Amino acid sequence: MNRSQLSHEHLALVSFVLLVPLGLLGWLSLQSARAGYLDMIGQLNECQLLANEITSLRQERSVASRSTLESPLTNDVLLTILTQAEIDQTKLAQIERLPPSPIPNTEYVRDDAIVRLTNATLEEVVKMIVAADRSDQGISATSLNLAWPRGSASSSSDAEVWNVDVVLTHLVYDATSQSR
Amino acid sequence: MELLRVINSDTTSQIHHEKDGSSLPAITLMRESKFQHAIVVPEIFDETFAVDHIEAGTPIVIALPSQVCFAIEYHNAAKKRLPKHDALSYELEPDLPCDAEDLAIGAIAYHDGWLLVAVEATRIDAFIQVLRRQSIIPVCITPQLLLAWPDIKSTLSHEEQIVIVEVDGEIDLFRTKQGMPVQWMWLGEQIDCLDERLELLSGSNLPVTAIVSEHDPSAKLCHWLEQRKATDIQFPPQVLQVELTEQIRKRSLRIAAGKEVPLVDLRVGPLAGLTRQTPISKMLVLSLWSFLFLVAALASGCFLRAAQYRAATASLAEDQRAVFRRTFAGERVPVGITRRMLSERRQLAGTRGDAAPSVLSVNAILRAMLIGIPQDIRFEIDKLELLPQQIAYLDGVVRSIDDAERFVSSLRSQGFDVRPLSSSKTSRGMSLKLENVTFNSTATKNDESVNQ
Repeated sequence: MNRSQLSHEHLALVSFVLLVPLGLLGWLSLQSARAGYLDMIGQLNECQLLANEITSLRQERSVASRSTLESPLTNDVLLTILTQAEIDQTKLAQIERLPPSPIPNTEYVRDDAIVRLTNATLEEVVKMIVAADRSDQGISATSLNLAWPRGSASSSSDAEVWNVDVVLTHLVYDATSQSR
Repeated sequence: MELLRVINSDTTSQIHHEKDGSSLPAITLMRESKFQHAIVVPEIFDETFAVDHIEAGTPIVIALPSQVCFAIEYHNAAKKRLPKHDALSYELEPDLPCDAEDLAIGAIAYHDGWLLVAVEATRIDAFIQVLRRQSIIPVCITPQLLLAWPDIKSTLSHEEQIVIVEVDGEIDLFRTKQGMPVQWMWLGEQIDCLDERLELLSGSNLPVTAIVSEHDPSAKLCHWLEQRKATDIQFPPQVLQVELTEQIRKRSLRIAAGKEVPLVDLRVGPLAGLTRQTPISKMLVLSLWSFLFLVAALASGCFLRAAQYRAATASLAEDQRAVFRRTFAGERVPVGITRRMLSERRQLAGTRGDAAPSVLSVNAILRAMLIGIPQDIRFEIDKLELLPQQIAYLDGVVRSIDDAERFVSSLRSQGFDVRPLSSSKTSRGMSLKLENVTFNSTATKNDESVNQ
């Protein structure tokens, strides 16, 4: 075996030592890039689906707030409901807010406010309940207590007036309360 | 014929180089066709040597004639180990008529030195190439007389002595110690200078054994032995007949079969590449280069494809950002777009649509109750508590038990589940008390209720 052939073999061996790791590196690089590409395709498809769902959900009616701070049961809203029910604000005796209470087995919290009226007619009460239900802010009248005013002569009054407690409820979505 | 004596500062070498310049003898080929292995003794090392009759892949032993070999007695007091081949080649190069790179040197160790046996690789290179082209593998390259050394050794009876070997009229001269050759000279047919050579080998007074192969000693050798016998009374020369050619053939076959190890193998240095893979080495190298080319091509392809994937990934990432910008106009694009959108979808799903549990209003039950109360009876209600699906409490009075029954019946017709009524007479009439009266109506928004 002559020297040129030896050097040929040595060159081939050196090339082998250099090229095989290079080939391995190339293969790993390809696998990594391919995995990234496939992952990105999946992410893009998922994002497009999510975007469609988000757009669609945004057009739906709101049924709950994202936090108690965003609850629509503000005094302004309550007064608006009274106004829509044509109830004089002088009949508003009290607005009592109850602490938020979680709804079992859900991720929702009830935000309740009791509106206490005095000397309200049944017609006014009905209008108030309807006005609350018809608001676009997810408010419902979930309890109604009517009491004949004590000390009043029922037979002497032309108009039937009541002391009224209406519980107005709004849902708050609290995703941290329980995983879905 | 010449003698080279070299004394270096740290090395003492005696180099005996014999070269008479005459043409080499004719081809001698010994081949055992019935056996798997063959022995080839080339004497003309050129491409004219025909090996067509040897099957490809046959392991052969190349037995070199003495005249192409160099024998060097090597002592080095400073070095207990023999230098590596390349270093040894360059150390000997100034005193040999060939380049160090062309020297294949083998060593035979004895108690205080080495007998170096060398061959000039270029002299047999053409022959090697012929063998390689025929895919014939030399498993050993060694001087032919050294192949028979075990047989020569068995004839030695002195601690140190001179051995004269005559094969086909040619003389080889050995000085041995403890059965191993320490000096070797080839005389050819020039027996006249035998005394002179013995003087050089410091062997004038040593016992002499003459080994002749197959035939009786030549007349010249007989004459010399007679003279020696007359002068050396203490150790008269012995003459032994050994079938060296046959022994060489047998030893070669055993070495080719891997059953025996030669005294020295010259497949070192420039002849080191002669292995079983040598005949296919070109193909191996070619295959290796092809493989490397393939690896290089694959690596390039991988990197190129990876770059394409990365470019496509970047484009998809831009598309993803565009989707986010369309969905969340004006918002800064976050790092985790998908996570942000998942969170938004979750929030929206929780706050909009039908995902939330239904909150029932008392509107329906109040409406049903107002419709259900008969218009033609008089009654008074002192207290009323309504929940979305039940009358929690009702306290009032009617004029008679009959009116009370009509009141209750009317409520039942509107979907109220009123149990049989208990009533008692009061100052204002008959009492009317209802508790926990459930309301079942299709008018309710949803069967589910959180208002328990």
